[in-house]
Amino acid sequence: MMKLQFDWRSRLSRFRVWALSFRGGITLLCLVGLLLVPLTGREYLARIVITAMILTIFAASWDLLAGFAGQVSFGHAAFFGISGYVTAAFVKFVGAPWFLAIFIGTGWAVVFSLLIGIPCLRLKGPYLALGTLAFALILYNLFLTGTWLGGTEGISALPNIGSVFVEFYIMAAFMVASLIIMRAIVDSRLGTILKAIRDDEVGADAAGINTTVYKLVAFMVSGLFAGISGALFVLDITAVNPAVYQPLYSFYAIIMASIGGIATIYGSIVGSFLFTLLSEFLRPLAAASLLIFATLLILIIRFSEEGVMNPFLEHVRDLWDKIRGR
Amino acid sequence: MLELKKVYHYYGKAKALEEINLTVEDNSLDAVIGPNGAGKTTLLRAISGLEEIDRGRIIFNGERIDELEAHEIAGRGIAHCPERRRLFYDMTVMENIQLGAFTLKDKAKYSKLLDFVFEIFPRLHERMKQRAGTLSGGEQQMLAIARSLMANPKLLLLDEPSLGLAPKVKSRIFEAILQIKQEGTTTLLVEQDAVLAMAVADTIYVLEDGKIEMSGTREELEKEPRIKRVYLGI
Ligand SMILES: Nc1ncnc2c1ncn2[C@@H]1O[C@H](COP(=O)(O)OP(=O)(O)OP(=O)(O)O)[C@@H](O)[C@H]1O
Ligand SMILES: [Mg+2]
Repeated sequence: MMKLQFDWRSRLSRFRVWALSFRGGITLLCLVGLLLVPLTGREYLARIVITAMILTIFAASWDLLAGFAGQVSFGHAAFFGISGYVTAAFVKFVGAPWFLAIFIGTGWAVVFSLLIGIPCLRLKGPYLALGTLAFALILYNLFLTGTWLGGTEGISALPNIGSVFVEFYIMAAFMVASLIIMRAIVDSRLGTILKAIRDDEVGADAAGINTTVYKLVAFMVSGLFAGISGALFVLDITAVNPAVYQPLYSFYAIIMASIGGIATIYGSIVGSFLFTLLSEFLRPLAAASLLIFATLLILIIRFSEEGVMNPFLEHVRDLWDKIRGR
Repeated sequence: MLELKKVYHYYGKAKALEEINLTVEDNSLDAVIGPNGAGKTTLLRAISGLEEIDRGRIIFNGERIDELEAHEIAGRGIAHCPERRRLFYDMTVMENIQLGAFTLKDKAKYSKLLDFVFEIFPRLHERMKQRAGTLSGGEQQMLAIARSLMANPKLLLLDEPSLGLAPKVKSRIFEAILQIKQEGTTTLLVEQDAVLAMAVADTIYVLEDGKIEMSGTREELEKEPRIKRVYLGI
């Protein structure tokens, strides 16, 4: 049983140690920088950062499933999309407040993660990737050809959840909370179990781990956070259409998580911010931008298997140590 | 403790185990010896549920286990230390050890076991935070055994613990196996090095081409001219 009691003193002293450590310092610095963005009063910048924060949750949810549990999904857009659709439908047709709609949308994403997870349990490696891809494509086509929930048009003209700057802080809160929870999960006993399944599934089974159950748990947790990001995404752009199910969105998650660094969770922040900012710059190039991202991804995988975050932090740290003359 | 009755196993149409009858008594250390491809690994995998047997029964402490899933069998108290020191290579020594204790619920027992494995393998204690994949071959074998012990198994299955190790490391591992026996853990050992296996085991089974050709104590087997010639090289 987990103790629900909180030992504030030891927490506080641990926080101080962490904040003064290199990683802790960098994290706090970035967080403060992030929270200052709206104070610049630049709406355009705030919008971009909002998108980056939402996509961070999405990329991290993929990283949890693929990087930690070893279940590489090529159909993550399914969780993202279903939650987005359900959220939009509840806001538009039922008139539910946005925070309630997020819960319902995310719940559906979790249900779908089971629907996708169960048949895909026996699939491994490339077959799992194809299986999940197929699911997302089925959803895409169902929503494209069906007439429910707006058909090809989707659902649009949702109410705003607040001014850009209010929205900014709401999204920031969601991102920070989601990342902390995901990181806590992968650092917990559950995380160790997932890594064991990733490293050697038969070995994990022989060690007494019910791999079936834990793989499904990984799918559900990942689906949950992908669902949250899908709901936030739709609330942000105030519309949804079948395009959210496109393989493109699944690949975005993979690209962002890989750029930042797989099996890190926090790497997704770096990956998503780089990705979103670059996308803005490359917007005039339209379709060619994807080509550039694909090339970038190949280069990163070729030259820095662990993504850019950790190697970059190592360099900064070396520099920092040099400056302080250590 | 463990009883195999007329167990058969096929890989497709190829027979890997044929009419295996075998009994492991409480607190004993038994060994299965035999040449490459005899079916030794298959035998252990069948017991721990990693292979489904085609005929026969496997009974563990009065319960039929041959239809259970691998993780359920592990939960009953059988720990399988696999061939070629399969570990969780991307995880640390400590994480591997913790995963070995997955089925263990008793916290006090956990720290006792931890003390015991670090006592028989002090090197692991020094390397707690190292990634398992970067350990030397002998250290990996130690970790593989330690991991199985952490489950506090009633029955320990060891598949070729001496494979590919230098003589010195080999005898270190076998000392540990004797220590494990003294602690009261029942063990079924698979080994190609017949001299080593016969030196420690109570009952020895000779597996050839999927069949148990002979079994008995060391004294009994040493009288057999064929065993002398093929396995002991005398
Ligand atoms: N997965 C498999 N599919 C098909 N045949 C297999 C499989 N695993 C083992 N075999 C065959 O079954 C026979 C017994 O193999 P097993 O691994 O049990 O032998 P072993 O006694 O452990 O040998 P070694 O001493 O080399 O480890 C061999 O002929 C092997 O080729
Ligand atoms: Mg073998």
